[in-house]
Order: sequence, then structure tokens, then C-alpha cells
Amino acid sequence: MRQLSSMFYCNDIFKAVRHTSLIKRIAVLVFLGAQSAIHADDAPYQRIVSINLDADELLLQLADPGHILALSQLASDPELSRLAHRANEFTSTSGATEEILLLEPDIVFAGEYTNPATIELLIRSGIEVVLLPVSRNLDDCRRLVRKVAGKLGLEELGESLIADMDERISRLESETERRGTRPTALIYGEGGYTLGDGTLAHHILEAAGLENHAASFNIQGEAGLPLEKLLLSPPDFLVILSYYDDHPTLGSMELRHRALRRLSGRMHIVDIPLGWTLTGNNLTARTAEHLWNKTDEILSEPREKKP
Amino acid sequence: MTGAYRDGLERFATPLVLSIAVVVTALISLCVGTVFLSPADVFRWIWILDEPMGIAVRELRMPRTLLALLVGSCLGLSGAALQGYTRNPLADSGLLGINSGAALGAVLVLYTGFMEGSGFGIGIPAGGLAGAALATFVIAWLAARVRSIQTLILAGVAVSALAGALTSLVLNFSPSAYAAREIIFWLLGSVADRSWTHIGFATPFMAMGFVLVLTCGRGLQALTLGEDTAASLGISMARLRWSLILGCAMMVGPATAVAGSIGFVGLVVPHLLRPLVKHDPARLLVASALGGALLLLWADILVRLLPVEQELKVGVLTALLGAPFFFWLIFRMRRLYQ
Amino acid sequence: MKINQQDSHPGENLFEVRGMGITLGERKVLDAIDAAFVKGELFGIIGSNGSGKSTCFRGMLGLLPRDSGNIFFQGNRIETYTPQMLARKISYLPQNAECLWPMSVERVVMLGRLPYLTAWGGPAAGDIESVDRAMESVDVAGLKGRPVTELSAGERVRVLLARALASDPVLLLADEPSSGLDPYHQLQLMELFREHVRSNGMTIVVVLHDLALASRFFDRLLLLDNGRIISCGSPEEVLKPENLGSAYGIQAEAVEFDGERAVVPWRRLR
Repeated sequence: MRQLSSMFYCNDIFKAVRHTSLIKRIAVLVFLGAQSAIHADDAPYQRIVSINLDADELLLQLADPGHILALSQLASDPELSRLAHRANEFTSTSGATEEILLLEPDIVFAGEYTNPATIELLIRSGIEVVLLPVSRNLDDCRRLVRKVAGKLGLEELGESLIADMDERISRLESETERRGTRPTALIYGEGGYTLGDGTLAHHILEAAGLENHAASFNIQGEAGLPLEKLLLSPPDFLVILSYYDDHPTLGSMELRHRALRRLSGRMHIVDIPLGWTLTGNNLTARTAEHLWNKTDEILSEPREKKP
Repeated sequence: MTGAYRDGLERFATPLVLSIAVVVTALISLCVGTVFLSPADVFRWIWILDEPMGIAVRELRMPRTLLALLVGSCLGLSGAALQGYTRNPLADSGLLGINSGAALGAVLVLYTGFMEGSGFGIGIPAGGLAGAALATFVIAWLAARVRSIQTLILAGVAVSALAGALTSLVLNFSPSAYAAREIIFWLLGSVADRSWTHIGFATPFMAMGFVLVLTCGRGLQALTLGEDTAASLGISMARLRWSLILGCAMMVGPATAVAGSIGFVGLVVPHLLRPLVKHDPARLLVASALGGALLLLWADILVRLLPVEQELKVGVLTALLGAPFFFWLIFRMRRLYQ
Repeated sequence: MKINQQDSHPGENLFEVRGMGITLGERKVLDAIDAAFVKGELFGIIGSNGSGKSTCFRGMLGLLPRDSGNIFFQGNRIETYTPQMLARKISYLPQNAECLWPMSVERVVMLGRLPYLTAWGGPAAGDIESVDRAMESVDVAGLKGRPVTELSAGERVRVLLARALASDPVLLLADEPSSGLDPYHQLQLMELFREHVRSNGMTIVVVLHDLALASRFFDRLLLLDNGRIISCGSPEEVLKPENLGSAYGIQAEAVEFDGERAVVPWRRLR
């Protein structure tokens, strides 16, 4: 999990920076301006840059759009970000030090695993840098919201986001209780790995009313899982972390292994975008909701699968 | 007074023994996994496709075993052929950069979306083939001009490094979040969790390459005494060169495309078997193909038996065994070949 | 089209080169080479370093492309033969020949039978006979099981010679076979050559540097200088002082012993 998230932030330096047209941006500012009218010009930071997906999602919900200079280029990727449709309207940055400096921000939100040299250089240039840790459970998610909201001087807005999250989580809990079953589910990612206790994905499964099947393989954290093990002890749901199905990779071929298809009578396959399990903030509740809905839909279907 | 040439049966003894060993090992390989099965169980489960164990045997263990066998034999055979052709006892598709070239070709096809849609198409082994052919051509071209063993190996290092860097570059451009993970696969190789689809696409190429290289036996024998002598013995050097380049590329390319770059099999196997075939480069070919299959099958069984949390990639094991052998060979070579 | 040997070719020449020219890179290495070898003669090609001796051999065998000229074997253009047919009739022992793998002597000699062997079949009785005969004739039969890489230089040259003889050729081209051998083995090699020429009617063409050996053992010599023929004929004729002077820049003295004449290089002229 750790490696994966850190990879995210150094991987895409080759991607070109997309610049949205000015007119489009103005249109968005006008549109969003009404929503965030409460934000006054006395906000502590008015030139904000994010090079971290978590911060991207939070800034989109918290900050005055006029104060956001740039978001990370991952923010507009629907396979990664839950608010990609909104991030599209902002300038994106690859996270290269030079690029950030040229934007002349007064605050930069970065990840714990952002290149330390970049961070050091930003700090030396007099820019405030906020390092966001990787969320490994729901409490981490809450802390992250508070941290970003606090920095922006928007504690109240932050608390309302958390309240909304908690409400969604407890609703899922009671719905699960009403249903009375907790089916088993196993996360399965490209290249044949799964995520156990100690990862955010584990807590998403639990919140979605599912039992993480990884525990039955004694797996904690991120670990490879041979297909044969999976085959001989299949979960009720195989949760595939999808990532660009139209860009085949070697690992994605494993997800299409005929052995898995042959098992379709014994196990259901659902998929969620990979990135949704990597970023942990208030929106994580929505990921759990998404998963709950998907699995519940299948569970309420009458069993008509072929043997 | 009976020389080896008077004994017709002796020629078949080594391949026969190796073949039996390969069959037995393949059977053992089918028995090994999360759950250990007896050979009788294996045969029973093969026909039961609606039980998880049956699916595991039919869709996982069988392709895995077959792939280890095919890839191993391709690597062994190409190693023997390359050592014979370059007249270099250190030649091996991995050391000469042919594996890396194949990986680059496969990666290019795979990640640039060059092949439409999704799934494992014929394009990936074909890409591997093209990459391998290019690398083999460079090496063969060089081998014809530079007689020095060291120079050839250094050229292989250069080809490897270049192809490896380009592979990383391609993976960097790809939108995959798993780039780093996949680079490791291409570097180390594995036959775990492959499917019949992989075998279906790779086998036709491999089979053609296999036959092509096996026809080179006489040429390699003649080449023992140098190119001029070989030519004076009626061997067409151009035909031999192209058969070998194409043949090795057709084996190593698709093998790497489906199993990643598995090193040292082609280096180790011919050396171990050479005394058994009386150092005859032609007889070494079939023997090395069988020996390569045997080695990779055992290596793949071993990675499944090792009591480690995460299953090792089989390429890690062959490298762990092969690299010390390589060192030993370098030391021994000074005495034996120079 | 079958060409009658007697009609198409004057004389009894086994192998003939007419007007051969070879260019390597930019350099004209051989120019207008005419030479003919008759059946049953021991023929020497001599000349200073870089005079084109080895290139001449490789050109004759078709290992190098010719700019000009024709080559005839047994009266027919050499192109009319398949490589395999030629390989059965003409053997070539290249300079510094060596065997890479530690194969047994017997196996190395058997490589000489390759032009007769099929791709998959083993050697037939006739092949084994030829190999045995070749080994006997150069006195290496006792070494047959030894790895060829463990032999002394003299033994190795004889083994490789046996390999060249194993195809029962009518013509053998040997490029500096005696270099690297001590006087004892040099003499032994020359005697072997002479014996094969006399007893089997074979034609052997040898490139060599040693003028003493050249003058004593060879029926005819060809002296090359700078890619051209200076002289061709009997040893006395070729090894005349003016020829040696222009080709090597040396003066040589002739010595006679037991009715045989040998030329010994004596002093440099330039």
C-alpha cells in the first residue's frame, strides 16, 4: 500500500501538464463562486497548490476555487479520483519542483512520501508545505479532513464533512445489521495481490458490510496471493481493483484468467476503481457505500447462477 | 577399441533418460501447490471442471507446468545454440541481452495499446519475437566481427542495459499504477498463474523456432573448427546465421513475453550436459532443450515448496543458482578454453 | 549441362585459377592470379607477410568474393558444383586452426566426414573406415579418445590434418600448418604431406614461410608479392636470388645435403 501510493506521486512526471482554457476556468469560478460564498478574502491562504490526491479531493470540497492554483494531475483521473469531474476545471501539475515554484503558491499540500528534495526546496523558498499522511483506517480519514480544514481556517466546514461521513458509515452499519449477513470479500489487484488488515481497503470492506477474506489466508497489509489459493477457498465477492481496462497490462491479464471465470458460479466479481482505495478522507464513506450497493444488489438477486 | 561412433544406442541414451526425467518432474509439478495431490488425484481432478480443485489442476497447474517445460526447453536450446554459434561458452540469451530485447518488444506492444482492445493477443509474443530478433541480430553481427569472448559479453551487457532502460521508459509512459511491480516481472520472470491462453499464443512460435534451431546441428558441429573450416565443409554460413537468429528469437521472444526474462538457464544447462554428449554441439541441442525443461520445472517446484511468506519468482531462483555458476565458469574457463 | 573434362580443359590440371582478383575493403589484395595444380603434386605458396597468400586460399575456396577471374575444378567451373560436392573433394586447413570444445580426437576427425553425413543419421561403416585411415595416416590413432584441447601443438596440428584428410579429398589446401611447430614436427608434417602425395595421388597445396622446407619438399612453388605472382615453377627456378630479393628483401644461400637442396635465408638486403 505504501509503495503504491508513493509511486503515484513520482510515476507520472512524463505526463504533460494540461492547461484548461481560461474561459472555461472563469465559467467554473462563477459557478462555484456561489457555493463557496462563505469564503472571504481573509482566508489564510489564497494561493494553494496540491500535489497529493487526498488534498486534491479535500480542496475541491473545502477551498474557494479561486484560491486553488493547481491540483495534482491525478485529480482529474476518474480511475483515481472521486471528484475527477470537478478537478477537470483546474490547472494540473505534475508535482515537479520547478513547476510548483513557478506557480508561486503560499501553501503546498503534499504527501508523506513526496520526494523530500522537493519539499526541502519548497520550504527554503518560503512556501509552507503541509505533509499529509496515508490513511490506513477511518480515523485517519477523519484526522486528514480536520488537518486540511484546519489549515484553511475552515474547521466548521471540515466538521460538517466528517459528520456527513459518519452518518453515511453508521447508515451502512445499520443497513448491514438489518440484512443480517456479512458476506466474505477479497480484494484482488493487478499482478495478483490482496489487502489485509492494516490497510484502508480492509476498513472499506468492513464498512461496506463485508468480511475481509484475506484474514483466512493470514494476510496482513499488502501481500501477493497465488490464484490457486484463491481458487481453493473462494470468497463470496472478489473485489477487483480496476485500473484502466482499456490499457492492458500484464497484471490485468491475471484478472481475466480463465480459472477465475470458471469459478463464477461460486463467487461474484465486482470492481471498484483502484484509486478509491488509496485515498482516505471523508469520501471514503462514499466508496464504502458504492461497494455496499454493488454487493447488496447481487445479494438480493435470486440465485440463478449456473453450477 | 570401440569408439563412441560405433555405439549407436549411446546416442539415444542421454535424451531418453532426460525425457523420462522431464515427464516425471512434470508430473511432480502437477502435484505441488497449495494442496499436495497424489498423481492419481491429479488425473482424477483433471476431468472435474466444476470443482475448485479441478479448476486449479486444469487451469492453473497444467498451464504452469507446461509453460515451465516449454520456456525451459526454449531457453536451454537457445543457450546451447548460441554458445555453439558464437563459439563462446559464456553465451546465454539472458547475458547477451536477448531476453531484455524480448521483454522490451513485449512491453512495447502491451503498454502502447498497439494491439487493439484487451486480452492477451498474438501481438505480445510477436512483439517479444521482434525484440529478441533485433537483439540477437546485433549480437550475431558482433560475434561475426569480434572474436573476443569478453567483448561479446560486454556487448550483451550494453544491449541488456539499453533494452532494460527502454522498458522502464515505456512503463513510465503507461498510465499503469503498477509500473514498478511490472518491471520486476519483466526482469525476473515467473510462470505462476499463467493460463492456457498464454500457451496457445506462444507455442506455435516456439515450435517453429525449435525446429529451426534443431536443423542447425551439423552447422554447429562444423563451426567447432571455425567459420572458414565450416564453410569449407559445405556449410552455408549465411543460412546457419539466419536460422539461428530467427530460431532463437522465435523461442526466446515468446517465452519472455509470457514468462518474463528468466536468466541463466541457457547458460547453465549446456555446460552441465556437454560432458554427457561428448561435447558434440549437435547432440547438445536436444539434450539442452530437455535439460532446460528439467531445470525450470524443478526451479518452479522449488519456489512453491520454499517455506517463505511470499512465493519467490522463479527467475529469482534461477539467478540465485545461475550467477554463482557463472562466476565459477569464468574461473574455470581460463584453464579450459584459453 | 555436363561438360566433358577433356574437351573443356587443356591438360591435366586438377584445379586452376585464371585471372583471380580480390579486393578487401578498398585494397586490391590479389590481382590477376593464375595458377594450376596438377594431380599428385605437392605445391607450395610462399611470399612475405601480407602478400596475399591466405587471401589466395580463401578466394580459391569461394570464401571471399572475387572481382574477376574464374576457377576450375576437374575441368569444370567451380560454380557448377554444390558446396557439399566440393566439400567432399577439397579440404581446407585454415591458419591457426583450433577446436573450441574439448571433443575427443576421434570426434574432431569425424567432423571431416560432415559432407557425407545426413542431418540426423549417424556415421556409416565407410565413414568410420575413412576416419580410422586418416588417423592412422598421420599417426594420431593412439590419441583417439583424448580431448583435443589437451593435446600438444604438434599433436593438434596432426589431428586437424587428419580431420582434413578424413573426407578423402583429392585436393588439400593447408594454410601455414607448420607455424608454431618445432623442427621435429615440422619435418614430420612435411614428410606426411609428401607421403600422401606419393602414395594416394593427392594434391596438396601448402602456404608456408620456411624457405628451407619449401625448397626441399615441394614439387613446385608459387611466389607472391603484393598480391601478384612473381614467379611460379620448380623450387630452383622460384627461389632464385633476384626473386627472393624483390619479394622478401633478403639474400639466401643454397646448401646441398644427401643430394637434396635447401635454401637458407642469410641476410637482409634493405
